[in-house]
Amino acid sequence: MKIFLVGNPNAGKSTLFNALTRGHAKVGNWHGVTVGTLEREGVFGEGKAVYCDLPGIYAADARSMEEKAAKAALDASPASPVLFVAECDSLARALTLFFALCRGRRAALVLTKKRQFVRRGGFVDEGALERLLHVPVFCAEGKNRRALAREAARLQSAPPLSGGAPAMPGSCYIPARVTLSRTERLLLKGYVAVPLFLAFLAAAFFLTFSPLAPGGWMKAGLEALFSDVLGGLARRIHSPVVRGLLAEGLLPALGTVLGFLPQILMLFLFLILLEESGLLSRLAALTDGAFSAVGLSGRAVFSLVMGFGCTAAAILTTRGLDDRRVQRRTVLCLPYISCSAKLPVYLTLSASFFPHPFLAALLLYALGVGAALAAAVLTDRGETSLFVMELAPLQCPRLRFVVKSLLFQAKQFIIRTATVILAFLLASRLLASFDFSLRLCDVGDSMLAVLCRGLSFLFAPAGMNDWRIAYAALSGLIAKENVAGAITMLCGAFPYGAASAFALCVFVLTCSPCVSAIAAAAREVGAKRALLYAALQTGSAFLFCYLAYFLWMGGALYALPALLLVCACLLIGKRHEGISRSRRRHARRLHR
Amino acid sequence: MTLDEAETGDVLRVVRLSAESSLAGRLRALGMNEGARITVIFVPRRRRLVYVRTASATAVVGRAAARLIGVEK
Repeated sequence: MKIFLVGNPNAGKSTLFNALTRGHAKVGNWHGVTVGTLEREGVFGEGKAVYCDLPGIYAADARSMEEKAAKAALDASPASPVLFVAECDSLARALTLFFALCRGRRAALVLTKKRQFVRRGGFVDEGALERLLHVPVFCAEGKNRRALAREAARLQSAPPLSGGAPAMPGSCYIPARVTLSRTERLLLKGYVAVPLFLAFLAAAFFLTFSPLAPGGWMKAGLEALFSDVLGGLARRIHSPVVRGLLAEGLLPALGTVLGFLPQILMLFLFLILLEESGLLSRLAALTDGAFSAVGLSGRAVFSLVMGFGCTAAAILTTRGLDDRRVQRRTVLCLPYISCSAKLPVYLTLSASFFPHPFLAALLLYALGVGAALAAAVLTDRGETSLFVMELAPLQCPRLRFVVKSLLFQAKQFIIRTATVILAFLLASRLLASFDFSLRLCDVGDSMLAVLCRGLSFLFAPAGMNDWRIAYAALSGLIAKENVAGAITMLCGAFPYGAASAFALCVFVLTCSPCVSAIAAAAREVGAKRALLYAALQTGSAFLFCYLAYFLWMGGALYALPALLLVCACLLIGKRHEGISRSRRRHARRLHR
Repeated sequence: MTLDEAETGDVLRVVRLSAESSLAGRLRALGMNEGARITVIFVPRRRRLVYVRTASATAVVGRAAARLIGVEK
């Protein structure tokens, strides 16, 4: 049996889903966290059932893409029972949706956030509500998995829902006091919220990137574990092939990648705190004006902030945007936001051109945000979308939730490193250790060198006429962490100067995202458009890389040829767009 | 008058929604249905947004969307 979890955004559907199924659906204090349907088997009474977590719906007449997806999933299974999840605070509006979506189905009403509702003077009697609505009604708060499963099992004896939403008498429900706290009122003001957010961001960057911060010490410890301890053990292996593979190849490369785990977790900690506290929805409201001016929407801030964690996940969240055009533009901008996978690359290379990695990382992150906004401006066609958004309540992030989310991110990173990245590094090391006769040889005579020598020209204009750098840079299309691992494995330390290191960072910053992100983009905007975006981004990344190198080496005059080429490409693109737009307008006029 | 003309602290009644159906549905779902009482909790100096409190939600409405909501004091 499949049971749908339905309700308004931020009602607690995914939290209930995780409780019933031991799943890891993303939860957060934001209206629109869940953007896709998620199915998993969970407990149902004494047996099992498949629970399906749906994105939140405001109204039966769905507006955003995620609402439409949820509605479509419900309509596809008209006989499936529903657990309708509603916050106690907004029960009145939830009941209207409950009857609109669940009429004719077996349904139960699940109440959430009761404690804070009662604290603010509200009252709800589940028993009285049950008698009024003639459906099972229960509160999810304070119940363990077994208790929730027993309550959910009451669906089996529930009659199909009929009639409309009745008025709730005082014996059933009394709304809570509607007041905003002083903190909430202060955070509505831009001159308070914006500096607070910037301070939060500064703290995030400092604690993540500074070698003096906890992340820096733990990184040094992890790298020492791989290169000194494990590498020392590997150097005692008799077989020269295995010794070379492990001690000189895999272990230093893996140490480079895994060494960044503490810093990546620090970055995720700040993202989780930002999301869980409710600050993100205030940020979305405050930035709507600025984002609308560049063709985006305040709601896109959620996707852009998530982009600092993972581009693929951020692309999926664009489903919460109401306007398809804004969604496409956001998907185009997201790869320029530096995800956590680019962090190892920046910090590995920045030591070559900056004495302070904190400032180098800050510069690169700022460049990325600037590039994202520039991409939005260049593709802006002057269309605006209407902004209407519910504000999430301000709350202190729950420690248990933060720790659980961090452990999940750590697990995901370690699994990705132990599978995709390890497989890539292993294959690269083997190809770089043997020639075509399968004899052990130097890197310069290996199969990898023969296959990739033709790529040397790609980064020659940036002072790196080296197939190893080209191979490492292009390996970022599989996973960005591969770039740092491949450089460490093939070159040891980065062999070129500051200008080339900076240019390579700019390439990684502006290049197409990894294949997971391209696949996510294909799902949202179509495969053709996603591949076009990837091709454009990779092509332009080479231009920006050369431009960065020339700017560093000789200033603006030296960079003039590359700058002229970039401007020419942009002008040609804009002109083409202008011609297409006027042709479309003319065709529409003729059609009328 | 329309919601974009409201001031901080105004207690208003929604009289009409001139938005297309899906936006109107969203506004009604947030408690801004015809006849509903709403409180304007904050209007920034540049008036690009209007923060309102309805019976069931705290919402923020952009200026263009606020022009589609007819209100009276």
